Amino acid sequence: MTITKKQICLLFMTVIPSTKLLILPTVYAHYAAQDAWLAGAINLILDAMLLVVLLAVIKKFNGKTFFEVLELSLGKWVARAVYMLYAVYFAISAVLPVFEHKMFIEITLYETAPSVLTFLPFFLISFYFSLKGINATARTGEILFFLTASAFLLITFLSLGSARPYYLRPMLKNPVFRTLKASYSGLLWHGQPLMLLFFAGRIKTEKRFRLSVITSFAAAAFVCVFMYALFTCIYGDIAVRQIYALTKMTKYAIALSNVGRFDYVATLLVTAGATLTLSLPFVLAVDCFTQAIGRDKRLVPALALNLCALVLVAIYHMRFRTVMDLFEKFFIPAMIALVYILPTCTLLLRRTSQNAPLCKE
Amino acid sequence: MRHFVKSKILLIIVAAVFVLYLSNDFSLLDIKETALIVALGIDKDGDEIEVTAQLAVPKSSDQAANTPGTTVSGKGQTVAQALENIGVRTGWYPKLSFCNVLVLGEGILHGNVMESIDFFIRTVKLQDTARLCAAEKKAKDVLTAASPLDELSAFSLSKILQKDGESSSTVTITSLREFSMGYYSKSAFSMMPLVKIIEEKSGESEGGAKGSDSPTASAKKASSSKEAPQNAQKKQIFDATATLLFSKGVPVCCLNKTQTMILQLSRRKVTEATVELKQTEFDGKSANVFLALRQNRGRLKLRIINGRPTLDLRLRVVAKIDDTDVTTTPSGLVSGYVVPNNILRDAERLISDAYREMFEMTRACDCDVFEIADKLYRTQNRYYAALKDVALQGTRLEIKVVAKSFK
Repeated sequence: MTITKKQICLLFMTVIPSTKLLILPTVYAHYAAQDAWLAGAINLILDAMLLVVLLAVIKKFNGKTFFEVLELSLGKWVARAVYMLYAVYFAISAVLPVFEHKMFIEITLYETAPSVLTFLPFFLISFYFSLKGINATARTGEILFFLTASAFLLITFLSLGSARPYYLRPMLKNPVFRTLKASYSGLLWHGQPLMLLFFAGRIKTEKRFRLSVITSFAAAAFVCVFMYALFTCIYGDIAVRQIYALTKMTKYAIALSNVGRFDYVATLLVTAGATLTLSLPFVLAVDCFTQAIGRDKRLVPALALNLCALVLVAIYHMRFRTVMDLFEKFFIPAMIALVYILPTCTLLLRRTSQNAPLCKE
Repeated sequence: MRHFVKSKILLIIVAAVFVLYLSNDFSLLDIKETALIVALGIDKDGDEIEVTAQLAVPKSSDQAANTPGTTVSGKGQTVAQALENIGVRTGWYPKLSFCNVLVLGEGILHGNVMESIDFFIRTVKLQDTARLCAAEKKAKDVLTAASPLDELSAFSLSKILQKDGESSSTVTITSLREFSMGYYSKSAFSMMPLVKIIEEKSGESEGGAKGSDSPTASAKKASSSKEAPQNAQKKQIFDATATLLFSKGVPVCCLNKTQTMILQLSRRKVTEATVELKQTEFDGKSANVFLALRQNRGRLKLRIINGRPTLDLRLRVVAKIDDTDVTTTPSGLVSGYVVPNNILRDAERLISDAYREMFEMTRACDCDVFEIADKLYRTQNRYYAALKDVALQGTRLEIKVVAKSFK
């Protein structure tokens, strides 16, 4: 089972923007005010650097999975321990976006607080993806990309009329500390290029692979930064009070006063793309776990993981702020180590005759 | 066999989940238990806040005729509490998604209005595109007014504040979002239209509204108007041409119709704006000229000259003579399109003087109507710390109005 270049590119362009435009623009605006786009750009540059490192790792150990590289260089038990660590990381990192989307759907699409049952079918989808593995997810990404892209086009088209670039000024005048603080808090929504590390060994060798992946990431990053700037241009000083920017930015379009809120179509399309994005950590967590324990059966870990998440959401579904604070306090340092430092260290592993590339790219 | 059992069990589980899922009501609201609020009025009643909601009650088509809008009031220490009390009293769930107008009563305007409308900015139940306006007296009076233009006074009001406002310069358009953006800006300046109720007899209203009827119809109306005084009912229409200016959420001064118009000309594109030039020379005679202004392009730019803020106000308009009070010669009719230079200069002078007068008037009230402090912060940031305290009082206004003729 291989993943093609096209699937990876489309997955990046679906996954990266669809999670970063709900609460994140408000988090950036809270600390960085009119420089919110800059705080977002810093994190995306960090992700771009991670992507370059991961592409270098893939090139260095071409044809081998990350597990095989670790196993051959550091031994079987180290490889298993590292994979178990990543399984835990992916499992935990799946929680916050699920909480965020649950709140988003309940607040924007419902008049009163709906029953918790409303969101739970999501776990059926994530269970299905967890069971089927990364290939099914990547194939779904091929379809969802077009939905997400058309949604962003519609949102941009409807929002541009109410944007005033005046509100981006004064540029770069926000205290550096606050902009960096915004970037730090926003890190929770980043690190998606890491998935490439777990695709290693399964990627179909194709021409201009690295260029295509970097270009698709750059396109997705541009959409995010553009949306952050657009958000600031529409709301100015009150951006900090606007959560769920995506559904709010469009409603000032004159077209809506005549036709009605057809912009909700865009919201629903982005939500469809986000379903894939939210499922991805579950898939990777199950992947890592099965590798770590050395068994191929995915049913039990997939079921257990999704049930755990379901129970967490059912119990703590009204405590998004507490969950976010906990993540900001304890999870970000672990995330930096696992997402940015550890993969970079992989590049330092020596290529021996055992873990040398099986074939030239 | 194993595969068969597995697939059947899976099918049963999926079916069970779907039955459970689809039999849920998803906490959706029953329309019969929902009050569709189309406008809200907020008044002060002693220490309490009184919220008046105008409701659109769904009715069958035969009932709909002659059914006035329903208004319900609730009181509480806060707006949210008052709103909740409306629901408690009526048994309806107050649905605010359709609320397009928010009227603030005179009592609310005595303090910081943000204290009253902050709830609406925080809540997701009400769209922040809802138009804001102030009532000359009680907001409740505006919502209970018997308007001849629509069954619900809120609808006739929203026609003035929304539909007309988008093209006309005589009404200030302010949504909840725009008001709060202004309030939280460095200038702390915001504004909203002031709604006055004008009483008129229903007969007057009909005559005015159907002025373009055929002569026969007019004649019939004239004969029937003799009976009108007996049946005449008091009808109320709204005037929203005045603009209330707020500094830090407190109303500090009021602009009249002309001032409202010229302020709109410098802030946004308008399709209808008019000025009246009195006793000016037209077609060789002294005349009152009604000049239409089109294609306005306003620009406000703050510069620092010799350490002093200078606000450059540039306005370009294209003028056309709409009407005069003198009869014109055939050549005079042509000059309706090509506006004589003397009239253009008169118009420029009139508008410039109005801007200057408005600037001095608002400055005296410490009201930053041209958002000088905000411009200083955003466009001249390096001077902001030094000049922020004297920005408004120390700014020099340079006005350049250019009126051109249709050719």
